[in-house]
Amino acid sequence: MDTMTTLGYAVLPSEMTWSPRELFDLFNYTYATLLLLLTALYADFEPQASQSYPFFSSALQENAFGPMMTMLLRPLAEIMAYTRSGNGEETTGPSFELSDADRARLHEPSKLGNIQIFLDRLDEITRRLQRLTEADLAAVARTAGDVPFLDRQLRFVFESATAMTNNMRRIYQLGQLPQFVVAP
Amino acid sequence: MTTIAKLLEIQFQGYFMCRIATDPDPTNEQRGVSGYTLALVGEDPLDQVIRTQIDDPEFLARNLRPPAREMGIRVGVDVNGVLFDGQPYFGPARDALVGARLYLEGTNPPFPGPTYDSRNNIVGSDDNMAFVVNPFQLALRKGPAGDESLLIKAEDYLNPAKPEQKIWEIEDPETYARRLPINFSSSSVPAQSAIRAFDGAVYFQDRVKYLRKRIEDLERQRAETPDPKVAADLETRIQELYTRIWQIDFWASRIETKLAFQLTYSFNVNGPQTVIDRTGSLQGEIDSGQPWPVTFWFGSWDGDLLIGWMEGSLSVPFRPAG
Repeated sequence: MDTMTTLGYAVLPSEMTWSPRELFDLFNYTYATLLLLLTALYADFEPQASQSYPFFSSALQENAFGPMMTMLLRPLAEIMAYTRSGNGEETTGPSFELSDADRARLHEPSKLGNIQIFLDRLDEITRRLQRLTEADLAAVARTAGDVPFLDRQLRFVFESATAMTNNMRRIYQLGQLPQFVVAP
Repeated sequence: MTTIAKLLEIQFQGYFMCRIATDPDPTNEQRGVSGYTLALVGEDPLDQVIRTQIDDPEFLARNLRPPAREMGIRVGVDVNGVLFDGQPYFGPARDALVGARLYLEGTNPPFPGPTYDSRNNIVGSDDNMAFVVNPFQLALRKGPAGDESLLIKAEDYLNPAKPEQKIWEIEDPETYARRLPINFSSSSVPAQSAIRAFDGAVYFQDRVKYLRKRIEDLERQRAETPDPKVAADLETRIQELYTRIWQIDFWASRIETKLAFQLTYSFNVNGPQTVIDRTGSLQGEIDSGQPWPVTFWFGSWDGDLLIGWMEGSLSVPFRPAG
Protein backbone atom coordinates (compact mmCIF):
# COMPACT_ATOMS: atom_id res chain seq x y z
CA MET A 1 0.00 0.00 0.00
CA ASP A 2 1.32 3.42 -0.80
CA THR A 3 2.23 5.71 2.07
CA MET A 4 -0.30 8.49 2.55
CA THR A 5 0.57 12.02 3.56
CA THR A 6 -1.24 13.50 6.50
CA LEU A 7 -3.54 15.19 4.01
CA GLY A 8 -4.52 11.90 2.43
CA TYR A 9 -2.72 12.17 -0.90
CA ALA A 10 -0.93 9.03 -2.04
CA VAL A 11 2.24 10.39 -3.54
CA LEU A 12 5.04 8.44 -1.90
CA PRO A 13 5.87 4.76 -2.31
CA SER A 14 5.69 2.25 0.49
CA GLU A 15 9.44 1.53 0.68
CA MET A 16 10.04 5.05 1.89
CA THR A 17 11.27 5.32 5.44
CA TRP A 18 9.59 7.59 7.94
CA SER A 19 12.08 10.44 7.85
CA PRO A 20 11.63 11.55 4.23
CA ARG A 21 7.90 11.50 4.82
CA GLU A 22 8.39 13.68 7.88
CA LEU A 23 10.50 16.07 5.85
CA PHE A 24 7.83 16.18 3.17
CA ASP A 25 5.18 17.08 5.72
CA LEU A 26 7.49 19.56 7.40
CA PHE A 27 7.93 21.41 4.13
CA ASN A 28 4.18 21.76 3.71
CA TYR A 29 3.76 22.83 7.33
CA THR A 30 6.48 25.46 6.88
CA TYR A 31 4.96 26.62 3.61
CA ALA A 32 1.58 27.03 5.30
CA THR A 33 3.28 28.95 8.10
CA LEU A 34 4.77 31.35 5.57
CA LEU A 35 1.37 31.91 3.96
CA LEU A 36 -0.22 32.58 7.34
CA LEU A 37 2.60 34.91 8.25
CA LEU A 38 2.29 36.93 5.03
CA THR A 39 -1.48 37.05 5.38
CA ALA A 40 -1.19 38.41 8.92
CA LEU A 41 1.51 40.86 7.91
CA TYR A 42 -0.45 42.41 5.07
CA ALA A 43 -3.77 42.28 6.90
CA ASP A 44 -2.51 44.86 9.36
CA PHE A 45 0.80 46.17 8.06
CA GLU A 46 2.62 48.86 9.99
CA PRO A 47 5.86 50.47 8.74
CA GLN A 48 8.70 49.74 11.14
CA ALA A 49 9.45 53.40 11.78
CA SER A 50 6.02 54.05 13.25
CA GLN A 51 5.83 51.01 15.48
CA SER A 52 5.91 50.79 19.24
CA TYR A 53 5.42 47.84 21.53
CA PRO A 54 4.12 45.30 20.66
CA PHE A 55 6.21 45.10 17.48
CA PHE A 56 3.93 42.53 15.89
CA SER A 57 4.23 43.69 12.30
CA SER A 58 8.00 44.00 12.53
CA ALA A 59 8.32 40.54 14.06
CA LEU A 60 6.48 39.06 11.10
CA GLN A 61 8.21 41.19 8.48
CA GLU A 62 11.71 40.31 9.67
CA ASN A 63 11.00 36.60 9.31
CA ALA A 64 8.87 36.48 6.21
CA PHE A 65 11.10 37.19 3.28
CA GLY A 66 14.82 36.44 3.31
CA PRO A 67 14.79 34.03 6.21
CA MET A 68 11.62 32.03 5.70
CA MET A 69 11.77 31.72 1.95
CA THR A 70 15.49 31.28 1.37
CA MET A 71 16.71 29.75 4.62
CA LEU A 72 13.87 27.34 5.39
CA LEU A 73 11.64 26.52 2.44
CA ARG A 74 14.17 26.29 -0.34
CA PRO A 75 16.72 24.25 1.64
CA LEU A 76 14.01 21.86 2.85
CA ALA A 77 12.93 21.21 -0.72
CA GLU A 78 16.55 20.69 -1.78
CA ILE A 79 17.23 18.35 1.11
CA MET A 80 14.22 16.27 0.11
CA ALA A 81 15.85 15.60 -3.24
CA TYR A 82 18.76 13.92 -1.47
CA THR A 83 16.59 11.54 0.58
CA ARG A 84 14.95 8.23 -0.28
CA SER A 85 11.73 10.04 -0.97
CA GLY A 86 11.04 8.46 -4.32
CA ASN A 87 10.91 5.18 -6.17
CA GLY A 88 14.62 4.44 -6.01
CA GLU A 89 15.36 6.20 -9.27
CA GLU A 90 13.79 9.58 -8.76
CA THR A 91 13.05 11.65 -5.70
CA THR A 92 9.96 13.65 -4.99
CA GLY A 93 9.56 17.37 -4.64
CA PRO A 94 7.32 19.31 -2.30
CA SER A 95 3.59 19.27 -3.02
CA PHE A 96 2.72 22.67 -1.46
CA GLU A 97 -0.41 21.19 0.08
CA LEU A 98 -2.41 23.06 2.69
CA SER A 99 -4.44 21.33 5.35
CA ASP A 100 -8.12 22.17 5.57
CA ALA A 101 -7.49 23.88 8.91
CA ASP A 102 -4.76 26.11 7.50
CA ARG A 103 -6.81 26.86 4.41
CA ALA A 104 -9.62 28.01 6.68
CA ARG A 105 -7.22 30.18 8.72
CA LEU A 106 -6.10 31.96 5.57
CA HIS A 107 -9.68 33.07 4.98
CA GLU A 108 -9.86 34.76 8.37
CA PRO A 109 -6.89 37.13 8.60
CA SER A 110 -8.44 38.92 11.56
CA LYS A 111 -7.83 35.83 13.69
CA LEU A 112 -4.13 35.79 12.91
CA GLY A 113 -3.23 38.84 14.97
CA ASN A 114 -1.58 36.86 17.75
CA ILE A 115 2.19 36.37 17.84
CA GLN A 116 1.78 33.14 19.80
CA ILE A 117 0.31 31.46 16.71
CA PHE A 118 3.54 32.04 14.85
CA LEU A 119 5.87 31.32 17.75
CA ASP A 120 4.14 28.00 18.28
CA ARG A 121 4.51 27.10 14.63
CA LEU A 122 8.17 28.11 14.52
CA ASP A 123 8.76 26.11 17.70
CA GLU A 124 7.13 23.14 16.01
CA ILE A 125 9.28 23.58 12.88
CA THR A 126 12.42 23.77 15.02
CA ARG A 127 11.43 20.73 17.05
CA ARG A 128 10.82 18.67 13.93
CA LEU A 129 14.08 19.85 12.36
CA GLN A 130 15.99 18.82 15.44
CA ARG A 131 14.42 15.39 15.23
CA LEU A 132 15.41 15.07 11.58
CA THR A 133 18.93 16.25 12.30
CA GLU A 134 19.38 13.65 15.01
CA ALA A 135 18.03 10.82 12.88
CA ASP A 136 20.14 8.08 11.31
CA LEU A 137 20.73 9.93 8.10
CA ALA A 138 22.26 6.91 6.38
CA ALA A 139 18.85 5.26 6.58
CA VAL A 140 17.12 8.10 4.79
CA ALA A 141 19.81 9.34 2.39
CA ARG A 142 19.32 8.75 -1.32
CA THR A 143 22.84 7.33 -1.44
CA ALA A 144 25.59 6.90 1.14
CA GLY A 145 27.44 9.75 -0.52
CA ASP A 146 24.56 12.12 0.25
CA VAL A 147 24.85 11.74 4.04
CA PRO A 148 27.40 14.55 4.54
CA PHE A 149 25.24 16.92 2.49
CA LEU A 150 22.12 15.99 4.44
CA ASP A 151 23.90 16.43 7.74
CA ARG A 152 25.37 19.78 6.77
CA GLN A 153 22.14 21.17 5.35
CA LEU A 154 19.80 19.94 8.05
CA ARG A 155 21.98 21.36 10.80
CA PHE A 156 22.18 24.69 9.05
CA VAL A 157 18.42 24.89 8.56
CA PHE A 158 17.86 23.86 12.18
CA GLU A 159 20.20 26.60 13.37
CA SER A 160 18.46 29.16 11.18
CA ALA A 161 15.02 28.11 12.43
CA THR A 162 16.22 28.35 16.04
CA ALA A 163 17.51 31.86 15.49
CA MET A 164 14.34 32.89 13.64
CA THR A 165 12.22 31.76 16.57
CA ASN A 166 14.37 33.80 18.94
CA ASN A 167 14.17 36.77 16.59
CA MET A 168 10.40 36.66 16.44
CA ARG A 169 10.08 36.68 20.21
CA ARG A 170 12.73 39.37 20.70
CA ILE A 171 11.52 41.68 17.94
CA TYR A 172 7.92 41.44 19.17
CA GLN A 173 9.06 42.54 22.62
CA LEU A 174 11.90 44.97 21.86
CA GLY A 175 11.73 45.87 18.20
CA GLN A 176 14.42 45.24 15.63
CA LEU A 177 18.02 46.27 16.24
CA PRO A 178 18.39 49.72 14.61
CA GLN A 179 21.33 48.54 12.48
CA PHE A 180 19.07 45.91 10.91
CA VAL A 181 16.12 48.19 10.14
CA VAL A 182 15.95 48.96 6.44
CA ALA A 183 15.35 52.63 5.71
CA PRO A 184 12.20 53.13 3.63
CA MET B 1 53.83 57.49 38.37
CA THR B 2 51.98 55.53 35.70
CA THR B 3 53.87 55.17 32.43
CA ILE B 4 51.50 54.80 29.52
CA ALA B 5 52.36 52.53 26.61
CA LYS B 6 51.72 54.46 23.45
CA LEU B 7 50.04 52.82 20.50
CA LEU B 8 51.93 51.23 17.66
CA GLU B 9 49.49 51.42 14.77
CA ILE B 10 50.15 48.57 12.36
CA GLN B 11 48.64 49.44 9.00
CA PHE B 12 47.67 46.88 6.39
CA GLN B 13 46.04 46.75 2.99
CA GLY B 14 45.56 44.50 0.00
CA TYR B 15 43.17 42.34 -1.98
CA PHE B 16 41.07 39.62 -0.40
CA MET B 17 38.99 36.88 -2.02
CA CYS B 18 35.56 35.76 -0.90
CA ARG B 19 33.74 33.03 -2.78
CA ILE B 20 30.41 34.12 -1.39
CA ALA B 21 26.84 33.14 -2.25
CA THR B 22 24.53 36.11 -2.74
CA ASP B 23 20.90 36.79 -2.02
CA PRO B 24 18.45 35.20 -2.77
CA ASP B 25 20.63 32.11 -2.53
CA PRO B 26 20.80 30.70 0.99
CA THR B 27 24.06 31.74 2.62
CA ASN B 28 25.39 28.19 2.52
CA GLU B 29 24.71 27.69 -1.20
CA GLN B 30 27.80 26.03 -2.66
CA ARG B 31 27.45 26.53 -6.41
CA GLY B 32 25.39 29.71 -6.77
CA VAL B 33 21.95 29.41 -8.31
CA SER B 34 19.87 32.55 -7.99
CA GLY B 35 22.29 35.25 -6.79
CA TYR B 36 24.83 37.18 -8.83
CA THR B 37 27.77 35.01 -7.77
CA LEU B 38 28.44 31.43 -8.72
CA ALA B 39 31.16 28.81 -8.80
CA LEU B 40 32.32 27.99 -12.30
CA VAL B 41 32.76 24.40 -13.41
CA GLY B 42 36.47 24.14 -12.75
CA GLU B 43 36.39 26.07 -9.50
CA ASP B 44 35.96 25.12 -5.86
CA PRO B 45 32.49 25.40 -4.30
CA LEU B 46 31.43 28.73 -2.85
CA ASP B 47 32.51 28.42 0.76
CA GLN B 48 31.84 32.02 1.89
CA VAL B 49 35.32 32.30 3.42
CA ILE B 50 37.07 35.68 3.59
CA ARG B 51 40.60 34.93 2.38
CA THR B 52 43.17 37.63 3.04
CA GLN B 53 45.97 35.29 2.02
CA ILE B 54 46.00 32.31 -0.30
CA ASP B 55 48.95 30.04 0.48
CA ASP B 56 47.76 27.13 -1.67
CA PRO B 57 48.93 27.77 -5.25
CA GLU B 58 46.56 25.14 -6.64
CA PHE B 59 43.57 26.82 -5.00
CA LEU B 60 44.72 30.11 -6.44
CA ALA B 61 45.14 28.61 -9.91
CA ARG B 62 41.62 27.16 -9.81
CA ASN B 63 39.85 30.19 -8.41
CA LEU B 64 41.58 33.43 -9.35
CA ARG B 65 39.74 34.30 -12.52
CA PRO B 66 41.29 36.09 -15.46
CA PRO B 67 42.09 38.91 -15.96
CA ALA B 68 43.11 39.33 -12.30
CA ARG B 69 46.76 38.56 -12.98
CA GLU B 70 46.82 40.71 -16.11
CA MET B 71 45.48 43.54 -13.95
CA GLY B 72 48.39 43.11 -11.54
CA ILE B 73 46.16 41.84 -8.77
CA ARG B 74 47.72 39.72 -6.04
CA VAL B 75 45.47 38.41 -3.30
CA GLY B 76 47.14 39.25 -0.03
CA VAL B 77 46.59 41.78 2.75
CA ASP B 78 49.98 42.83 4.08
CA VAL B 79 51.41 45.32 6.56
CA ASN B 80 52.45 48.41 4.62
CA GLY B 81 53.14 51.01 7.31
CA VAL B 82 53.56 51.72 10.99
CA LEU B 83 52.72 54.74 13.15
CA PHE B 84 53.77 55.27 16.74
CA ASP B 85 51.77 57.59 18.93
CA GLY B 86 50.08 58.90 15.81
CA GLN B 87 53.28 59.76 13.96
CA PRO B 88 55.20 57.99 11.17
CA TYR B 89 57.58 55.55 12.79
CA PHE B 90 60.96 54.44 11.47
CA GLY B 91 62.24 52.43 14.43
CA PRO B 92 63.15 48.71 14.32
CA ALA B 93 59.55 47.66 14.86
CA ARG B 94 58.69 49.12 11.48
CA ASP B 95 61.21 46.94 9.67
CA ALA B 96 60.02 43.96 11.66
CA LEU B 97 56.38 44.49 10.75
CA VAL B 98 56.27 45.85 7.20
CA GLY B 99 55.56 42.99 4.83
CA ALA B 100 53.93 40.82 7.50
CA ARG B 101 50.95 38.90 6.15
CA LEU B 102 47.51 39.47 7.67
CA TYR B 103 45.37 36.39 8.12
CA LEU B 104 41.78 36.10 9.28
CA GLU B 105 41.70 32.66 10.86
CA GLY B 106 39.32 30.29 12.62
CA THR B 107 36.21 28.61 11.28
CA ASN B 108 32.50 29.29 11.34
CA PRO B 109 30.99 25.82 10.88
CA PRO B 110 29.93 24.58 8.41
CA PHE B 111 32.23 27.08 6.72
CA PRO B 112 35.96 26.40 6.80
CA GLY B 113 36.95 29.98 7.62
CA PRO B 114 35.62 33.36 8.70
CA THR B 115 32.58 34.67 6.84
CA TYR B 116 30.38 37.74 6.56
CA ASP B 117 27.66 36.38 8.79
CA SER B 118 24.06 37.33 8.19
CA ARG B 119 22.16 34.19 7.19
CA ASN B 120 19.92 36.22 4.93
CA ASN B 121 18.85 38.72 7.59
CA ILE B 122 18.63 36.27 10.50
CA VAL B 123 21.74 37.37 12.41
CA GLY B 124 22.53 40.49 10.39
CA SER B 125 21.08 42.58 7.61
CA ASP B 126 21.92 41.96 3.97
CA ASP B 127 19.99 45.06 2.97
CA ASN B 128 22.06 47.28 5.28
CA MET B 129 25.33 45.41 4.73
CA ALA B 130 25.30 44.73 8.47
CA PHE B 131 27.49 41.63 8.64
CA VAL B 132 29.63 40.38 11.46
CA VAL B 133 33.04 39.04 10.43
CA ASN B 134 32.71 35.73 12.20
CA PRO B 135 34.95 34.58 13.82
CA PHE B 136 37.43 37.40 14.25
CA GLN B 137 40.86 35.90 14.76
CA LEU B 138 43.42 38.25 13.28
CA ALA B 139 47.02 37.11 12.85
CA LEU B 140 50.05 38.97 11.53
CA ARG B 141 52.77 36.59 10.38
CA LYS B 142 56.29 37.45 9.24
CA GLY B 143 58.51 34.73 7.85
CA PRO B 144 57.76 31.30 6.42
CA ALA B 145 54.35 29.81 7.25
CA GLY B 146 54.66 27.61 10.31
CA ASP B 147 58.07 29.00 11.22
CA GLU B 148 57.33 32.68 11.62
CA SER B 149 59.93 34.93 13.17
CA LEU B 150 57.16 37.27 14.27
CA LEU B 151 53.57 36.38 15.12
CA ILE B 152 50.92 38.69 16.56
CA LYS B 153 47.41 37.33 17.14
CA ALA B 154 44.25 38.94 18.44
CA GLU B 155 40.91 37.25 18.88
CA ASP B 156 37.55 38.86 19.60
CA TYR B 157 34.56 37.13 21.14
CA LEU B 158 31.03 37.84 20.00
CA ASN B 159 29.87 37.23 23.54
CA PRO B 160 32.74 37.55 26.03
CA ALA B 161 30.54 36.02 28.74
CA LYS B 162 30.18 32.85 26.62
CA PRO B 163 33.02 32.69 24.11
CA GLU B 164 31.89 29.32 22.79
CA GLN B 165 28.39 30.55 21.93
CA LYS B 166 27.52 30.50 18.23
CA ILE B 167 26.04 33.59 16.67
CA TRP B 168 22.75 31.82 15.92
CA GLU B 169 22.46 30.92 19.60
CA ILE B 170 22.74 34.53 20.77
CA GLU B 171 19.21 35.76 21.34
CA ASP B 172 19.92 39.48 21.37
CA PRO B 173 22.12 40.91 18.57
CA GLU B 174 22.83 43.85 20.87
CA THR B 175 25.38 41.44 22.39
CA TYR B 176 27.50 41.60 19.26
CA ALA B 177 26.43 45.01 17.90
CA ARG B 178 29.96 46.30 18.54
CA ARG B 179 31.14 43.88 15.87
CA LEU B 180 28.76 45.25 13.23
CA PRO B 181 30.00 47.85 10.74
CA ILE B 182 30.13 51.38 12.10
CA ASN B 183 29.67 52.83 8.65
CA PHE B 184 28.59 51.79 5.19
CA SER B 185 29.09 53.89 2.08
CA SER B 186 27.79 52.89 -1.32
CA SER B 187 29.75 55.62 -3.11
CA SER B 188 33.10 55.62 -1.37
CA VAL B 189 35.97 57.53 -2.96
CA PRO B 190 38.56 55.62 -0.89
CA ALA B 191 37.10 52.34 -2.14
CA GLN B 192 37.24 53.50 -5.75
CA SER B 193 40.70 55.03 -5.32
CA ALA B 194 42.13 51.87 -3.80
CA ILE B 195 41.64 49.97 -7.04
CA ARG B 196 41.65 53.02 -9.33
CA ALA B 197 38.21 52.25 -10.74
CA PHE B 198 35.86 55.22 -10.75
CA ASP B 199 33.14 54.10 -13.16
CA GLY B 200 31.64 50.70 -12.49
CA ALA B 201 29.80 50.54 -15.80
CA VAL B 202 32.94 51.22 -17.83
CA TYR B 203 34.97 48.87 -15.64
CA PHE B 204 32.65 45.97 -16.40
CA GLN B 205 32.21 46.92 -20.07
CA ASP B 206 35.96 46.52 -20.34
CA ARG B 207 35.66 43.19 -18.54
CA VAL B 208 33.08 41.94 -21.03
CA LYS B 209 35.28 43.06 -23.94
CA TYR B 210 38.16 41.14 -22.41
CA LEU B 211 36.04 38.03 -21.91
CA ARG B 212 34.73 38.16 -25.50
CA LYS B 213 38.26 38.45 -26.82
CA ARG B 214 39.30 35.50 -24.72
CA ILE B 215 36.39 33.48 -26.05
CA GLU B 216 37.55 34.21 -29.61
CA ASP B 217 41.05 33.01 -28.75
CA LEU B 218 39.79 29.82 -27.15
CA GLU B 219 37.38 29.11 -30.00
CA ARG B 220 40.27 29.41 -32.42
CA GLN B 221 42.31 26.95 -30.35
CA ARG B 222 39.38 24.57 -30.16
CA ALA B 223 38.95 24.64 -33.95
CA GLU B 224 42.61 23.87 -34.47
CA THR B 225 43.13 21.05 -31.97
CA PRO B 226 42.88 17.47 -33.22
CA ASP B 227 42.48 16.15 -29.66
CA PRO B 228 38.80 15.75 -28.67
CA LYS B 229 39.65 15.88 -24.96
CA VAL B 230 41.47 19.16 -25.37
CA ALA B 231 38.55 20.45 -27.43
CA ALA B 232 36.12 19.46 -24.67
CA ASP B 233 38.24 21.22 -22.04
CA LEU B 234 38.38 24.33 -24.17
CA GLU B 235 34.61 24.21 -24.63
CA THR B 236 34.20 24.11 -20.85
CA ARG B 237 36.39 27.17 -20.45
CA ILE B 238 34.50 28.97 -23.20
CA GLN B 239 31.18 28.25 -21.51
CA GLU B 240 32.58 29.54 -18.22
CA LEU B 241 33.39 32.82 -19.92
CA TYR B 242 29.93 33.03 -21.48
CA THR B 243 28.46 32.43 -18.02
CA ARG B 244 30.45 35.32 -16.59
CA ILE B 245 29.34 37.64 -19.40
CA TRP B 246 25.75 36.60 -18.83
CA GLN B 247 25.98 37.31 -15.10
CA ILE B 248 27.54 40.74 -15.68
CA ASP B 249 24.91 41.65 -18.28
CA PHE B 250 21.97 40.31 -16.31
CA TRP B 251 22.82 41.75 -12.89
CA ALA B 252 24.36 44.95 -14.31
CA SER B 253 24.06 47.66 -11.66
CA ARG B 254 23.91 45.17 -8.79
CA ILE B 255 27.47 44.18 -9.69
CA GLU B 256 28.71 47.54 -11.00
CA THR B 257 27.78 49.59 -7.95
CA LYS B 258 29.65 47.38 -5.50
CA LEU B 259 33.00 48.60 -6.76
CA ALA B 260 32.30 51.75 -4.75
CA PHE B 261 31.11 49.99 -1.58
CA GLN B 262 32.98 50.50 1.67
CA LEU B 263 32.08 48.72 4.88
CA THR B 264 33.94 49.98 7.95
CA TYR B 265 34.47 48.16 11.24
CA SER B 266 36.03 49.41 14.45
CA PHE B 267 36.18 47.75 17.86
CA ASN B 268 38.56 46.81 20.63
CA VAL B 269 39.50 43.14 20.50
CA ASN B 270 38.41 41.55 23.74
CA GLY B 271 39.90 38.05 23.63
CA PRO B 272 43.30 36.38 23.87
CA GLN B 273 46.35 38.18 22.49
CA THR B 274 49.59 36.54 21.45
CA VAL B 275 52.97 38.03 20.61
CA ILE B 276 55.85 35.80 19.54
CA ASP B 277 58.99 37.66 18.53
CA ARG B 278 61.58 34.92 18.14
CA THR B 279 64.45 37.17 17.10
CA GLY B 280 63.59 40.23 19.14
CA SER B 281 63.07 42.14 15.92
CA LEU B 282 60.52 44.52 17.44
CA GLN B 283 63.11 45.79 19.93
CA GLY B 284 60.39 46.68 22.33
CA GLU B 285 57.50 45.22 24.28
CA ILE B 286 53.86 44.91 23.24
CA ASP B 287 51.38 45.09 26.12
CA SER B 288 48.95 42.17 25.97
CA GLY B 289 47.05 43.19 29.07
CA GLN B 290 44.50 45.52 27.56
CA PRO B 291 42.15 45.52 24.54
CA TRP B 292 43.74 46.33 21.18
CA PRO B 293 41.81 48.71 18.92
CA VAL B 294 41.31 47.48 15.39
CA THR B 295 39.71 49.37 12.53
CA PHE B 296 39.40 48.19 8.98
CA TRP B 297 37.23 48.30 5.93
CA PHE B 298 36.25 45.94 3.18
CA GLY B 299 35.13 47.25 -0.18
CA SER B 300 35.93 47.80 -3.85
CA TRP B 301 34.06 44.56 -4.43
CA ASP B 302 34.42 42.97 -7.87
CA GLY B 303 31.48 40.55 -7.99
CA ASP B 304 32.83 38.89 -11.13
CA LEU B 305 36.34 38.13 -9.87
CA LEU B 306 35.03 37.64 -6.30
CA ILE B 307 37.74 39.83 -4.86
CA GLY B 308 37.80 43.12 -3.00
CA TRP B 309 40.08 45.47 -1.11
CA MET B 310 40.76 45.51 2.63
CA GLU B 311 42.53 48.26 4.50
CA GLY B 312 42.96 49.11 8.16
CA SER B 313 45.10 48.99 11.24
CA LEU B 314 45.67 47.09 14.45
CA SER B 315 46.91 49.24 17.32
CA VAL B 316 48.97 47.67 20.09
CA PRO B 317 50.37 49.37 23.20
CA PHE B 318 54.14 49.40 22.69
CA ARG B 319 57.21 50.32 24.73
CA PRO B 320 60.36 50.64 22.60
CA ALA B 321 63.48 49.24 24.28
CA GLY B 322 65.77 51.76 25.88
